[in-house]
Amino acid sequence: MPWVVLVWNDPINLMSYVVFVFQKLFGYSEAKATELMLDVHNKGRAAVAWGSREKAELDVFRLHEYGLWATMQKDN
Amino acid sequence: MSGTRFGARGSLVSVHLADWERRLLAEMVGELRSNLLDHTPARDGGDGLDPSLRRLFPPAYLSDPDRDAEYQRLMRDELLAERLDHLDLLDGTLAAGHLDDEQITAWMQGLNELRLVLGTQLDISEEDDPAEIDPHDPAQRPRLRYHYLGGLLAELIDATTA
Repeated sequence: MPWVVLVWNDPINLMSYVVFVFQKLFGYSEAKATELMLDVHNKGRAAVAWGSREKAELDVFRLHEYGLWATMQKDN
Repeated sequence: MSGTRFGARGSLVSVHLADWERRLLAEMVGELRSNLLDHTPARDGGDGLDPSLRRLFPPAYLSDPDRDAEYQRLMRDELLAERLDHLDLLDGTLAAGHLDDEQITAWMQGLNELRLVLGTQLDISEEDDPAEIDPHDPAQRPRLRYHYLGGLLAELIDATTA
């Protein structure tokens, strides 16, 4: 799983919206989605998905569709 | 404006918006659609993109300009088409009494896009307090609209996850 998808903190997206999107796109439980959202909020970013480059690009695209600030990079 | 504008009704969500709210949303959706069409984003990684639209077309690779340019070339038109599609769906269901799953998603994405563009234009901070806004000051209208959209989106999420 050489690629990781990161979501970055931004001042606009609502916390409840970010939790909703994480649950909807990745099937995370509400508790896990909330934990990831708080990581984004408090640490500036969180890793939300891993996989091949193709899968990571699709995940980034779907996050962009929802207006989240997502990027991908090689997972070292 | 209290939390009763959306209600859970089985798998549907009921909508209880005042006429002025439906008119306001139609106006904002129309403006954003025109903005997107008039400032068709360049596919070369951001050059030529209207600054207020940048948050709608973010980079996928932060430290790899070549890969990001390739990503933008392949995906930006598709992202634009998706955004126009759900703005159309939002616009077309503004008078609806209830929303199904696909329509709820389009509303959320559309309302959030309106917030992203307004928030970018306003250079909004997380601490921005709507209680400090003078509602009678016309110059504050975009800020009022930004917070209005945030309240509406939050209520829709609440109704969907109730």
